[in-house]
Amino acid sequence: MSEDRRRILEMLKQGKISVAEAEELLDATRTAPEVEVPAPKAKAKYLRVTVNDKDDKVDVRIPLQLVRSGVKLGAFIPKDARGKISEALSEKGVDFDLTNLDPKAVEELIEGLADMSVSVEGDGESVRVYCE
Amino acid sequence: MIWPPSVLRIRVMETRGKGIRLWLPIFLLWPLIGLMCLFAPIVMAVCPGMRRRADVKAVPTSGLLLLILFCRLRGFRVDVRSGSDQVHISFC
Repeated sequence: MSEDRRRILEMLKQGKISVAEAEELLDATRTAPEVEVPAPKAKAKYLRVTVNDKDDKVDVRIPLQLVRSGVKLGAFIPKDARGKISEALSEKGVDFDLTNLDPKAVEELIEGLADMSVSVEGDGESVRVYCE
Repeated sequence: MIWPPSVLRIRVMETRGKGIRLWLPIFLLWPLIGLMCLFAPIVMAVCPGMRRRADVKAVPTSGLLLLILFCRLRGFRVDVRSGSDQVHISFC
């Protein structure tokens, strides 16, 4: 028996409320939705990248705080060097503009990664990116 | 309190069990790295080339940022295996 029901029945026994009032209160306790408290989500600490081939295996674990701190240190990269890095990346097929690197966007990306994982599999090879 | 990594583990294993296992005590370098981080903003402020190139607002906090970056290295791990060869690097 719940604490509310016990209290209502005691009030009825003591004559503080009538039978009809007790019935109403008991109905209210039955229909009251139970609020589910969500379990606290464990905060992700590491970014994991695993690549599995038939013979080769790569496993990298990067602390997310290291990524955050690294982005802040991006301010020390000279602007002309940032442009050169972006050009070199685009030549390699990576379309990533380092000159417009926004720490807030990176923070959002990290938070987004905490809730999802990317997994690509095919021909005995698999790539997985996730946070743990 | 963020503690910097105290040991760098390097393991390079080749075929037939041959390889190198190293435990480098980084904690011996803590004072040196602390001094470097302390003097980083001074060097950046004095050196005209660095001052011109870097973000001026970030210069006073550069030492602290470097120290934080070093501390955040704890837990970083790279493990690469190819056949029977293996390379493992981790900061503990």
